[in-house]
Amino acid sequence: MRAFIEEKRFGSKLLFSNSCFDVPALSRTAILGPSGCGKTTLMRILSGLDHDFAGRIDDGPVNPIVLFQEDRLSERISVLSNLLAVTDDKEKAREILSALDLGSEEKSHIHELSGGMRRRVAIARVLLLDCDYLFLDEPFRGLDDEIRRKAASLILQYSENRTIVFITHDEDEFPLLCADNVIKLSLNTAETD
Amino acid sequence: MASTIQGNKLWKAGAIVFWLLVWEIASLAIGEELFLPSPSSVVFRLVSLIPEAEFWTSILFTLERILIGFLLALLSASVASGLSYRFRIVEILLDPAIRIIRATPVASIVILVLVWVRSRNLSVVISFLMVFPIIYTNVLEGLKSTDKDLLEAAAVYRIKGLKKLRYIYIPSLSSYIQSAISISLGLAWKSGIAAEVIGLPDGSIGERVYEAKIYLSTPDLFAWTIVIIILAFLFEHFFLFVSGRFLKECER
Repeated sequence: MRAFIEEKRFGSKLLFSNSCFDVPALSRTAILGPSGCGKTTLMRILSGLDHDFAGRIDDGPVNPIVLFQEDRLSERISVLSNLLAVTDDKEKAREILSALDLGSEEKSHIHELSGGMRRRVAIARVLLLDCDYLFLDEPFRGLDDEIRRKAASLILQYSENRTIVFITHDEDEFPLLCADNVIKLSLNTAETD
Repeated sequence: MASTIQGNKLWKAGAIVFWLLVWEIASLAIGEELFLPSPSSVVFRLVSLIPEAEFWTSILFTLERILIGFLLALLSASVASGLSYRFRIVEILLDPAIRIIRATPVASIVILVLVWVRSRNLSVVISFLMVFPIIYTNVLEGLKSTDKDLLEAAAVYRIKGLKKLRYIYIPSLSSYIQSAISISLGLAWKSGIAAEVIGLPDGSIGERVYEAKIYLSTPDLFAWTIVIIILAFLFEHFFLFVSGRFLKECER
């Protein structure tokens, strides 16, 4: 996938101007940069959620799935119901929950969970969906080291034939998802390594 | 905690006893059953009504019609609010009708409806017309306040149709639906009975209330009023229980 962004503004702020971003097929691409540099905006453009920019996307995703920065879970229903909203395969949903140490929480309502648990439910939900591109916006936010490693390994296990694009603030997260392509953003310019 | 709850119940029971005493004293002071019967004579009359077949047929007649009106309104207002949420033109078209129904006094609507509908089915139409705007407005407001981020996620995750309704909309609508049912049930009863008192369908509670007034049988009037209050209370609690169970099932 290649994105040519002639111009993208966020309100009055110019985020990208004549920028080009490459995401090779089946790569594990990390988007790195400080807060406010446009990482989430770029991910929304790449995933096809944001069309409000001047430019074009070549060979864009056909079937993208996004793990949003916010967990975006249905608060008043149980953990398992949040997963059953996207799949009919109850066993697979339970299997992923167990792999993320949430097996005993399937009946808990989302509003009863900690921030880290919610994040894991959100990760479990995206792993249940078929996609060609998996976009992850700060996937490990709020997770401790052990769970972070488990979650990363599960994401890789379920994404053998997927391109992964993930946002991070932390270069230490590159090895977790085996990053082989990095898009570094700064507050003024955008370049691809 | 338990003693606080028990204390509260005692206070509430005490308040009821207080007002019964006030009623008894006022009745004794007036000394005329025609103007204000004593609580004991009302209870006596109520107990004597219970074995009468006509008592039960009147209750069934009114209950059936108010129930039908309420259920029709619940169903159609839910569908209409869904259509209004989906198609702005439906909301724009329905808005003046909803405003007019809400602003018009029940008595005027009853008289108008009597021109078009047989008095036998009057309470169906009136309870329908009173309940529809409340359910419609509440459900539409609930739909509009559904989390936009969650809806975007649902679109990305391809959550559609019944699953979207079950896992996204109903959980976020539940408090709006419960509050709409709670408000509209009381209104369905009050307006339904008021319509019957004006339209006088044969064999209805409204007709019994009217007859009590015509024959100056004040204990009958009080007894029927108590019956209406008890039925409204049971009706409301039954529906809140059923809808609560349904919504809880959806929140599992």
